Amino acid sequence: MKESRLKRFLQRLAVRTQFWPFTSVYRGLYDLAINLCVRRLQKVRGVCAIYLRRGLAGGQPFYGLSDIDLLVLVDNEQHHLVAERVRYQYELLRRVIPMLPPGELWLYHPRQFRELYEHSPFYRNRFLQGRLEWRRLFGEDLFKDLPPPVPGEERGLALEELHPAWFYLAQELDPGDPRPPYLRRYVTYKAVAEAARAVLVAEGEDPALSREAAWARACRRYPELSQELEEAGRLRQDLLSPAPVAADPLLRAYLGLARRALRAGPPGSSARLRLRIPPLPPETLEIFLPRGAVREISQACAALKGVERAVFLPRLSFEAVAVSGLDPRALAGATMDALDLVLIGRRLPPADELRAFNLALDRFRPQVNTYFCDLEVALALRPFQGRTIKAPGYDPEFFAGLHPTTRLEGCLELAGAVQVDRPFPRADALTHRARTLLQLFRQPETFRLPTPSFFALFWEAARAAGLVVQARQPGLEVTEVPVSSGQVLESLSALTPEVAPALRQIHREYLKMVKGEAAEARRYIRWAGQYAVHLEDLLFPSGEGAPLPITPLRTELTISVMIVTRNRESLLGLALKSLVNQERPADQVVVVDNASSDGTSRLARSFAQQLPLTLVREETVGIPYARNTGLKHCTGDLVAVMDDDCVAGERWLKELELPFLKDPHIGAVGGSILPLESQSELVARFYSSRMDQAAAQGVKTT
Amino acid sequence: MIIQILSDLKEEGYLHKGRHPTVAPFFACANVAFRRQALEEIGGFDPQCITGEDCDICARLSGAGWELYTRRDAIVSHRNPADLKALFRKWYGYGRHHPYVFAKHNDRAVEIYLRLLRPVLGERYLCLLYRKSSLGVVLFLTKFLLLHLALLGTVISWLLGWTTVAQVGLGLTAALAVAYAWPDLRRWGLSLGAAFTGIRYVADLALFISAFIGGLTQRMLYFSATVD
Repeated sequence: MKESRLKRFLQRLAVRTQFWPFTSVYRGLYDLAINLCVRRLQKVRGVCAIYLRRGLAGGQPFYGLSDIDLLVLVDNEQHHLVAERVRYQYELLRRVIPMLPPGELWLYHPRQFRELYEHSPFYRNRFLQGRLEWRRLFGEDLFKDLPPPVPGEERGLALEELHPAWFYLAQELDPGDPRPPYLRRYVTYKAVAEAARAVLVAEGEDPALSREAAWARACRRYPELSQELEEAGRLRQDLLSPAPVAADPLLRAYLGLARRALRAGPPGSSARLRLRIPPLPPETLEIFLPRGAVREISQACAALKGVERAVFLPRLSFEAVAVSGLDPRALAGATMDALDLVLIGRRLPPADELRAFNLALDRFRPQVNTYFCDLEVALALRPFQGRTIKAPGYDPEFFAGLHPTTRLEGCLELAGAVQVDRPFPRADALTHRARTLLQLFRQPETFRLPTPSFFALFWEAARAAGLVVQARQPGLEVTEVPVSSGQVLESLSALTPEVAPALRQIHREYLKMVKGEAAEARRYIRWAGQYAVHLEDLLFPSGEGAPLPITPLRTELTISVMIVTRNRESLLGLALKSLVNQERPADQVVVVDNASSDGTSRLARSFAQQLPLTLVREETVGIPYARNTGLKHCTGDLVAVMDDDCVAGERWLKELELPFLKDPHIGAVGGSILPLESQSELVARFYSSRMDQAAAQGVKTT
Repeated sequence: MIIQILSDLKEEGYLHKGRHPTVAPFFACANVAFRRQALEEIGGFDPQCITGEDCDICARLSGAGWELYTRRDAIVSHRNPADLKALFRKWYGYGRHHPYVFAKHNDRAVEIYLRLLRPVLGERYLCLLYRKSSLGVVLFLTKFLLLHLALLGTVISWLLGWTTVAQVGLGLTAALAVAYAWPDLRRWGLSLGAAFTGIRYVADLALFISAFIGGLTQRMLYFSATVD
């Protein structure tokens, strides 16, 4: 809280002093901060490139308000672990550098980067902007080997920028937003300028247009919008004005630009669509929801300010909606996932109303999910609202690559809607999707429990994989897309008989799960995950479906516990006893008797029944000698060291082992040390008090 | 205590190495697990480190490129010294043998000390370092040390007959004494706080004296006294 207040103060100061001597000071400060980040991040082993993106790199930054956005490429076998380390460093840097935004660090593996570039228009758009707006700070050139952009694609991609722009605008115009007015003015201006850029690019301008240039050009070119655009431009000049941002002219400006952009449209396509699907009948909804739920949810929706329409949509893909025609009979088996509730409106509802709405809907989760859909999509879909439409400007590929929320909306309106009358075009995108999903199963920690999402993902992956295999077969056109898990089972079994038995079993578990018999399904969860990996190998042989390099980590390590003791007969017993009670028992306990003269070794030997004990004697007095001797007798992969006057907690070894399993580069793991209780003498109390304080502050003590 | 100053990180996670491999935050050897391969790679414990072997080994591990990780849920309870004599002996031992660790890792870690300006349990350290002299001198400006410096100054100026300076020095000494006792007094009240301050003073004294003796033998003088 304090920190953010300081940041706000500095920000306000910078906003007030955007003129000559100061701007160069700010530029220097920004350069310094960027240098610091690069120096720190490039030290992390495995980081191969760092890029600076957006305003600071290419455009005209507004010092004080512009953030430092970074992209880091991690080229390492254990890239997810390195990523964790990079994030950690980033968090440390954020404590020092206020210009680093929270959670805005982009982290990729080079291969992942390439895949995203090749398969997803959404990301290609982001990265292509990168060509123009990113500055390489360190490491290799990202764009060296990437294929050139598809000609004409920029225009379609520019339109996508309307989506985040709308999101910003809606957020900033919300009167309940707690951010200071100058920040909101700045972002609002940015949103409108982005929209201006989108329309200009859609009309054929060079995509390397800066925000300011786009705004100025749009002002000249569209006289009918000039008033609103001027309003937007004024916002940038009067950042300090306390007057609230006038919503209407900005929305009008955005709308005007968006409409123009959509008219200029994505590149023409020859796809013919006949849109003919009846709207979703309420009784279909009752398949998924308890009786009366529909009414309850619609009431909750009606209470939301700013929402103009709310529509239910079963969570099925574009093709599924298209092919099944939302026939209740076809949907009856479609227990694949859930219902999505799509809310369309001009702006996001205020936060408190949203909270109340979410509370009201909690009863129906996870069967019901909510999405907010924006003006842009509603606009985009306006041409398709009629019953039978020939849409020359409409490209299904365009929808396919959109943000999930947007794609959902595409389904929704097309549920009005579609019969697809074309060859199956999306093998590439589907391959990518199936592979991404199947790869999830390589990370067992993602799915601890048989959650609905586990099975839903599994079936979705299986379905996508099946479709790919089908589409690959020469001469075959996909005419029917499996909707329910049962249909997926059938079609996949027909395609690849060798997976049929396993799939059937998983399906059985899935049905149990749906019926609420979770406990039984749990047993199979790990097995299903393994199976998914197998499925991946089966469906994508020879590299094209090869996973990112994740070397399997060992799931178990052996631990030797080493205790050095000297004349502590009275205390050693407690320490050894605490080792007997470990949740994860030690594989070896090495007790080094450092030339004791009392009954220490006898006491240790009495534990031989309960512990895998190795008793060693070292005659040279001194802890390091004794430790080295003990080390020679340790056989485990890990050596846990403990003092003889300590008592270990029950989960001690388990907790210490975890990080080692996670990361092969970790050499040592340390825990917390707390004072032993039940001591009454003054000195001991003094000591405990110190350690209490230390523990409260997270400082380790001896 | 020196080792505590070196411990750097509060949350769980990878300990950041900083620019210097020896800035390794350390784990006390009462609660730590090593990869055996890593220990063998760096050649085990240094037999000359009687105390501070934890500091030493963590510095060497991170110097060899291994990552260190804290896991706060791994808990060990530790028994504390029960009487003043044991306490004195314990801190004496730390002070006596730590100069070796410092001397050993000093070559690579000149700037460590300058990074130490951080609050630990309400103490704030300022560290001065003179490496050029034949005796490397590390001076931790703690309340304990400042208190005694002020006291020394007062006595000297009084002996020299500078009354005004002596009066100011006396005031300063009193203020520092209050500052020294204040965290305990505030937390534990008057009687218990005063007792704790006394105990702390004893431990600080033990550490200071032994650090001086140990430092002379290692040609690495350091003035450190704070038992937190």
